[in-house]
This record gives sequence, structure tokens and C-alpha cells, in this order.
Amino acid sequence: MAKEVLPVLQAQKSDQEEAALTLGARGWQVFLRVTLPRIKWAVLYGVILCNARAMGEFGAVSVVSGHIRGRTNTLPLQVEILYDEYDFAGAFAVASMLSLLALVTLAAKKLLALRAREVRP
Amino acid sequence: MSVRVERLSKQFAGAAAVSEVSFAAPSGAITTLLGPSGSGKTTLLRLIAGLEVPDAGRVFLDGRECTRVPVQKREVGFVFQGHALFEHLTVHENVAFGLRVRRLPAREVGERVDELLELVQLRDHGRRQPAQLSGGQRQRVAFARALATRPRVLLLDEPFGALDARVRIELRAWLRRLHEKTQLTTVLVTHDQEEALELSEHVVVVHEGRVEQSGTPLEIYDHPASRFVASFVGEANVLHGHIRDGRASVGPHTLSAPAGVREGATVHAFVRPHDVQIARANGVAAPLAGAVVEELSRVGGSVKVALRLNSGERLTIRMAKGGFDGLRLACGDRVQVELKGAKIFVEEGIGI
Repeated sequence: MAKEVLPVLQAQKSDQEEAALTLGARGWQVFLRVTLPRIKWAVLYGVILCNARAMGEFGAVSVVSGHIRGRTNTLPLQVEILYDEYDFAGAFAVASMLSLLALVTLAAKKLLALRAREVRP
Repeated sequence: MSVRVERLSKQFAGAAAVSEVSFAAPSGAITTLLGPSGSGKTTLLRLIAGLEVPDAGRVFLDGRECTRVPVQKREVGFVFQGHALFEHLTVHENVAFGLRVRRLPAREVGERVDELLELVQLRDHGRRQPAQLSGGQRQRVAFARALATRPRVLLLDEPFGALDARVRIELRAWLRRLHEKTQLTTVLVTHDQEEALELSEHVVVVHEGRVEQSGTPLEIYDHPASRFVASFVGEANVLHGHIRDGRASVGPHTLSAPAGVREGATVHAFVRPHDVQIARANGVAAPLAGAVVEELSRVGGSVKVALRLNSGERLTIRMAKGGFDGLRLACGDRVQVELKGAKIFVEEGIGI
């Protein structure tokens, strides 16, 4: 997410923020009224990418947080658990859901990427 | 509402941008900070606005010290070189910004914005985005936005710097009229001496973070206090010579020099292009003060004549077209040169 937002922030000069300050805006007003509107598409885009990364997590969760069912689990891990328990129908259902979510994320990402590029100066 | 700064200093990464600057901008007038780029004039303006905190020194607005007052509470209007309009807001919303953050009632905001758009002659442009305006229009919106909150001082950082020459001249006249209407104390930063001389009653020449001279445009033009001012403000020819018998001897010309200078010291004589009189050389008279016409160019109602003196130095002069026609000069002609006035500076390090 930082990777998405930082270049946008860096590309914009702080002129507009300074102008807002001279007009009497306080720090949080500057952020809400000037900075955020300009980076909102980049922020959303970052959120989507984060989400995709989190959904697909397998190794790190499996090794570090011990993949406790219903508590520290991810969809790919759930697929593994169900598969190991010979619940093939369940495993395939979850896997299909994961693929579907991946497609939705991909579409959202594409849309936002277009939007973010439009807004970028 | 006057602006005064006292021994103001600011360093960036160990390099002094402003050092021990003191000056005052009188109430209700336009004061110009004039200097080349990198002279510290913009930093000075940002210190007055509160966008930078000084390392030392004090800032006074209306006689009250506000060195530690945050920018939001200084009630200054600031116009940036690159307009700095909020690109995601319309013209109307841009002008309304300062009023909205003050939580004024919507009706009052609307009325004030209309009033200001009228003032900057953009009444029908309220719904446009800044990107849909021309450079000059954008800068006018920036003025309206800065004026909306009724600031006590208007601070302008090269407001016309990013515009092309024709628009710049138009806006200069526009700003003059605007100032006559608002009578707001204004500090203008510029590197354009024409802008400074035309717009303001009071000019402060800044160089390398220090004030070189301050005064009216005429004082600065006619009585430059240093070599830098003489060469930066207005056109000037520089001729070199030495002190001989207490007077400045520059080529064949002898000019009065300040008292108490060392014999033999190097002098720099700054000669304005219109402070030179030329006549056709008539044979043998004063051959030393002679020169050859190297180049002629007509600029509007005056003629620029480039001369090469017998000493080898070059001198550019300007004369009215009438006087020039009387002489009927051509390139290669020999003329006699008389310096009517020159400002003499003796080499630094030797007391004036």
C-alpha cells in the first residue's frame, strides 16, 4: 500500500498543503480536505493489493501462526485442511470461492488502476 | 497594517539563506523584495508568512511580535508562484476554502466568493476546474482565494513568474488597479526589476541573504549603494580605472571620486546608457575619448548604440531617436564620448 501511495505523494508538491495552511486550515483539515482527496484512488488501489496479498497467504500463516481452524487461518490453508480430511466437496467449494474472489479482486484492481492513473498529474 | 522584520536569520542544511535581515514594509503600500534567484527573498517572505521558522530574529505584524505565531493565525494572504490551486476543487470551492475551514455560514461564504470572483473578473468561471483556465486566470483565482479571508497583509511570491511576457505585463497593470481598490499592505517578491520599479513605492534589494539597499525605486536607480545594486538594477556599463590624484581616472575620463580613497586603488565606474553623450569626432580633437560605432539597433522610440572605446572597453548607450537622426551615424563611424554621470565604486576592502 505504501508502495502505491508514496510515489503519488512524492509527485505532488506540497504547495497546495502550504496554501491550505496560509488560508487558516489546521493540520487535520489540510489532510482531510487537500491531501486525502488527491491520493484517495492510490490508497484504495493499495488496499485492494493488500487484500489480495492477505487472502493468498499460505506459508507464513502455516508456519508462524500455527493455522488454528477458525482463528488463524486463511482460505488456502482451509483448502488444505479440508483436503487432508478427505472432504473433497468442501475443499473444491472453498477453492472455487478463492478463484472467484481472485477474479473479483483482479477486476477491481484493473478499474482502480485506470482511475488512479487518470487522477495522477 | 505594517510588516517589520528584525535581524532575521535562517539556515538550510548549514547554508545561510537569510542572514540578519531587517526591513520594514509600510502600511497600505506595495513593498518589493528584489533580488536574483537564490538571494533568499522567497525564504524571507515565507518567514513573514510563518511557513518557515527563523533561527534568530523577530517578525512584527502591525507592531505586534508574531515570530512564534503559527501560519494559520497570522492572517496573511499568500500567492504562490505556481498558483497552488486545489486541483480537485472548482474555482468557487477554491475561493471558498479559507471561509469554509473557518466554518462560516454557507450563505455568507457564497456571497463573499461571488464578490471576490467579481473583483478578479472571473464571475462566470466559478464552476470550472482550475485545469480549464488559462495561466493568467488561474493566478487571478489564487489572488481571490488569498483575499477571501480578509488578510491583513498580502504576500506575493513571484506571482507572475510562471506566465508569459504579455500576460505578465497585463497582470501587472491589473495588480496595480487591484491594490488601488484594496489598499492592502503587500510584500511582493520578484527578480524582475521592471516589475519592482513599476509596482512599488518601496524596494528592498536582497542579495546573498542580506539587504543591499532599500528605498524608493528612484533612489535605488539613481544612487545605488553597492556595485551589486548598480549592476542588478537597471542597465549599466562598467568601465574600469584607477584613483589618480584623488580622482577616478577611467580611460581618458576623469571623474570625481569619494574622499579618502587610496591612491592607485581600482575603481569601477557604472555608467547608465543614457548618461553618455556622443558627438561626431571632428578630426584631431581629444582623440583619447574617441570610440567606434560597432552596432546600431532601433528599439521603439530610442536607439541602442554599441561603441568600442579606444581603450578597448565596450559601452552601450541609448539615445532618443531625434538626437540620433541629427547625428546620422553609421557602423564604423568614429565618435567622441562624454560621460555625463557615473557612479564610482572603489575596489572592496579599501575604505570609501
